[in-house]
Amino acid sequence: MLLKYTTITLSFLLSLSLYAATWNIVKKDKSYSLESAKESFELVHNGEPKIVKIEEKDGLKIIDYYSGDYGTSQKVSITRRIVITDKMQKVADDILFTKVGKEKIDSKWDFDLKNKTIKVYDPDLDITKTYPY
Amino acid sequence: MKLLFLMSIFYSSMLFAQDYSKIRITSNYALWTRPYFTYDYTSGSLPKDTEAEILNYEKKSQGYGVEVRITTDPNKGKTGWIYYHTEPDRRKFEFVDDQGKNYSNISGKTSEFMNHFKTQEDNLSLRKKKIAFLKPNNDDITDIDKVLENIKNGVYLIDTNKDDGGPFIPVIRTVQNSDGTKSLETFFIPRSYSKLIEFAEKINQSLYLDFNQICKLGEQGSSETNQDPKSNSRFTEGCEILEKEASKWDDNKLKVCLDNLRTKVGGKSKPLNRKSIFQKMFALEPEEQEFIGSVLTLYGESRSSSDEESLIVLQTFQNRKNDARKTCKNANLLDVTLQAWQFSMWNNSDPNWKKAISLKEEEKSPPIEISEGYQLKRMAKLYKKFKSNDFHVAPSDVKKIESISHYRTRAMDNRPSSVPSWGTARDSTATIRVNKMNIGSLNKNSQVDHYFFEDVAWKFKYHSYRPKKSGEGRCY
Repeated sequence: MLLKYTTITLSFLLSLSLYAATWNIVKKDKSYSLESAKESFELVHNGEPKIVKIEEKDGLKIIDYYSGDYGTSQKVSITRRIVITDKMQKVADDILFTKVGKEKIDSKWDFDLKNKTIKVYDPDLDITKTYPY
Repeated sequence: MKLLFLMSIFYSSMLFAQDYSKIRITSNYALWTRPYFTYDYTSGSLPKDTEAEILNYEKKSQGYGVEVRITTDPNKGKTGWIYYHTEPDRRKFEFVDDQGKNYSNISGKTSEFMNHFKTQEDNLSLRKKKIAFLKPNNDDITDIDKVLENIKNGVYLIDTNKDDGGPFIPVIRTVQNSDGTKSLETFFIPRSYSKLIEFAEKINQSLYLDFNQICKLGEQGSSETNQDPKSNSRFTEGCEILEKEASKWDDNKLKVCLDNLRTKVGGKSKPLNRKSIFQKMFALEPEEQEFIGSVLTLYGESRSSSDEESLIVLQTFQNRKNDARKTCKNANLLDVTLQAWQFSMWNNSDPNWKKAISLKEEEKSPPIEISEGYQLKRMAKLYKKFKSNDFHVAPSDVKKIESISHYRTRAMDNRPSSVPSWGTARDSTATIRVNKMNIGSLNKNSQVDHYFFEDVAWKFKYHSYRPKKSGEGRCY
């Protein structure tokens, strides 16, 4: 019984570590890429990016990453989101939220699972981008 | 009653005594290019007895900076700044009024000294408003509209060789001397950009009419020559010069081009629409895009900095363009300067983009050095300087400046939490010697406004408002 639970626990931990190891940020020359064993996607960044969160939704991998600090006289910290299909196609890479001083500007992300589209509204630019997948 | 009369005479003479229009150097002195009185900004020496007219004042911590135009040899026509100290022993010049009377006994008490010069500033401001002051006895040149009309008709001529971009424009005309001979005389009109734009439009209109009349009169006029001459150029009116080699650009025409571009992208609309302005800028001709992107960004980011520092800001734009083109082959200077969130002046909440684009803001300002118009012209001249490679970088610093990808203001150090992760002062470039001035971090002087950084990793992306071009999908 003890052996069974130990095996289950170890399998669970192993699967978690495998999941975490699936995506890494790799620096090549002056650029950074999000890489898995199968695919590599160049990231939008200013300085060194970092993975913030990875989740799955409707067969999509949703990876939020800290894109970096921007600005010449006012620091602006940007977190972006990259969405990848189960066929390893990148379908979106856009701003998730922007921090300008203490103010946080959220972009609005809508996943239309039925029509398989992602809509992203950027309030700063007042623009909506539609990404089919 | 008599006493009252004498007192009023005395009082009015005191008032008059305070209104100086010139200075005279009392012992050999230096001239500075800007109101920063350090060795880096000296532009020559002024021998004793040099005389100059006063163009401007600027309050300093221990005195007043005075901008002057030299009126005597050997530096006649040259403009620059000199310093009038609160401590009488450290003064190198005296003030002179219109009657030639000199004043060297201005109080050394700080409050009296400052009050005195505040009055002088007010007097100068009033003087600038009155063109009549410049030539009080001649009706033809007391009205700026009449002067411009005479320039249009070829009676007067703007002296572009002597125009230094300052608050007054030199104009030449022929005058009849008392002995019947004729000679050339130079007088000055205030630099009013709104008037000049209006004037440029009139000239263009008159050229257009002349051209059409010639075509109609010509018996052999072909259909090609009857075309609207404006349609022959792909450029915005006044911007054809951008097609020439940068060293041949005329400074005044460059400013006219800039103003026409600002008008075209919506600089006169109220309220200003940032989205529409960006979209219109991306619709300009490639040379125009680079020009307006660089000059307006430079204005918003670096107008209070020295020319040397501004040139390295321009170099940063150029380096980014070079980097961007490694993956996005059509990227230009407008693309890199407008890239979202990179250059703070274009942020929605930053007032500088409005100042840079708005012609209404410019019209509200007087034609002096702190005005938008003057500074924009200065930025346009710096762009010309940069494009024609008219500046000197220490040979050991050349590679460094070509690697600068980022900069930030030193003022961000006041709040450590506002310093970007890539931008700690200790990581910035220590020496960048431009025209003998070090603008790197080793120069701790407050006259340097930015820290510059080499090879910070970054990724270029086209702006979302830029129309998409085929083959560059990955760049959006």
